Amino acid sequence: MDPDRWHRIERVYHSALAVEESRRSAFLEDTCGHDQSLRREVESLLSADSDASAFLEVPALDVLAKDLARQSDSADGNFQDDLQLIGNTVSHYRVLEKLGGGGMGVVYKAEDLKLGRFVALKFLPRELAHHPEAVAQLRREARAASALNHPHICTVHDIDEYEGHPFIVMELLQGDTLKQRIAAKPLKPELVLSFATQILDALEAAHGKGIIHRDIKPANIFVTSRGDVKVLDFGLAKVAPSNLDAALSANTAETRAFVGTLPYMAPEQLRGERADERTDIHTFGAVLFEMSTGQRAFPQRSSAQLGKEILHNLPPRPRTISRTIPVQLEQIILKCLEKNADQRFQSASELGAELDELTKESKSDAHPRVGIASAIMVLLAVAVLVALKLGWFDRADHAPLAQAATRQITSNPMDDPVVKAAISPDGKYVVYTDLQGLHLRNVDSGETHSLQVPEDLCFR
Amino acid sequence: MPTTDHEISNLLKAWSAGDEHALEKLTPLVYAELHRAAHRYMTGERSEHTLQTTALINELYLRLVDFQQVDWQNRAHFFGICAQLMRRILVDFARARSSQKRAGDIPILPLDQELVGSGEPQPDLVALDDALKSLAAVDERKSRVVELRFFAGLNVQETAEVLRVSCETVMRDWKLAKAWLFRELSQESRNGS
Repeated sequence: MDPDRWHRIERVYHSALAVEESRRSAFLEDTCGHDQSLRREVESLLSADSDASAFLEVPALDVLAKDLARQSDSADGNFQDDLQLIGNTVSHYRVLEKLGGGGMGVVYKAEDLKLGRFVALKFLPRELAHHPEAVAQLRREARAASALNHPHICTVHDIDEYEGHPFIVMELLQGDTLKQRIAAKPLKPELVLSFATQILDALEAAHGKGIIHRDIKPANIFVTSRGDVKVLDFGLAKVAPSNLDAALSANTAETRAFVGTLPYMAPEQLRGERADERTDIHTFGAVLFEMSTGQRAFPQRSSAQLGKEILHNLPPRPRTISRTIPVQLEQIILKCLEKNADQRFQSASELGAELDELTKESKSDAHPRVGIASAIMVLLAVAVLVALKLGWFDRADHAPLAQAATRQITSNPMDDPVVKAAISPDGKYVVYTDLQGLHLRNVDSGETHSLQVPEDLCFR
Repeated sequence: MPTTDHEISNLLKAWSAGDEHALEKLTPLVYAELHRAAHRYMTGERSEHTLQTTALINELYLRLVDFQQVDWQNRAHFFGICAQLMRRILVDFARARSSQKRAGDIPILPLDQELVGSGEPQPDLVALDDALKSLAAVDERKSRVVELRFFAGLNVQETAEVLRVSCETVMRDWKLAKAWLFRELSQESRNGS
């Protein structure tokens, strides 16, 4: 089209848009005069304009993503059987059902016809099945995981091919991912410690073979129905070249763009620097944070903001989210999340030792450590014993004595420590004083009545 | 061995200089993002996340420009190349899918029916790509506005920055381009069916 003509159309079109709709016809009549083709052109654009308000307003990537999602939803409300495998026999595996599908893999449940056991088969999504990079990644995952025979790493049995589609044969796991387990709620402290220890165990084994996972996140950690943790998805793992064909590691792992998952990435991953054991320590720390608080260490906003936050800002202190998190656990989490890798734990075993220590402490009621936080517990235990000795609980005709038990019924914050405490003769109340005043608490219900210290009085 | 960032940066440059092989290496990035987004829609997580199309480009930008001294000297140039890249990859993806649809796997809805059927029009990206080429022949800048807004997910201000024009111009271009393309696609879908 002649550019002058086009500019004329454009001008008339915008002018017409500025005119109230009821007066547009008259406006075009005036403006276009005898040029009927100009008028028709502008009118058809104006009519399209009124229908096009939502057109192209959803970005292309989202349009396609929704399309993909719809297609997957439409298949029995479940994931679509991309490769039409269900019911077929692939190598010597009979495919039974689809278990799930993510960005880089589609997982099916299958029966191993030779060994008569159930397994999981992981294929690439159809679009990536012939993509050299994606295929290399799948192979890398198989190799990395099969190099690791470990109870807390999902076992890879084999890698095979079906009509040109490579797939991994893995142990079939039953349970949920850690992501599903957390579901925005903090886990119980003993679970946090148990899961954390098992994940670390797996990482220690991987690191021992020179394998860096690089994508530790709740969705990649599986908790079986028996409570065993399995680390999945070594698809992004970096394998020391000596452990693998140099060619494989040279043309894939290092050239991949985003290695990792943004909200869990370590600063050095974002900067595109070398990942080492301490990178996994950081991502592990982000998982530990999430297990303990039910929240992400770096809440997701736009990815650009998120990236800046990971690079420059400290995460919130976990205890500001939940006071029940032990101080030592908070310190461990924050040390894992240090920006500078030199300031983190330097190895999974070093971190593991700290966690073991914490686990031991939380289990050993017999030997409470005498610190400010446990002072009140000791005090109460003593009080209970004294009460027993004095026979306050001992009514002559109720022979068996109540068992003495240690039970923490107050917290004892540093900035407002409990000064004195006593238990009532019937064992139902504890009374204690702190800087705020005198408090009488019902041991069973936790109901507390407080007598505040008058403002102008200070006692210690 | 080159670092990851240099590698991407080189791939982008190679691609913009016409090296089709570079595209192959960049494609999985976009596909992975696409599947992640689809997965979020499927699991209903989408509403909680504010990840936009630009996320991918922002991530790249963040790493290549902010923290590395790579000679992507300005944002504008970078976004421009990324938008072309996204267009190429997404249209190829849509083309592959529509050939699957034609093979009978997936029912295909003509544009009009989708427009009537749902509140959100879902343009056929392949037809849109062709229409954009026709638009570029008439008015190059308007086709770039669409490329930047629709394929790269840039906002008006960012688009204005890339094209070195005012926000007002972008808005006017966007409005006319949308009307023009909408008309083009409606005609095509009428003629085609």
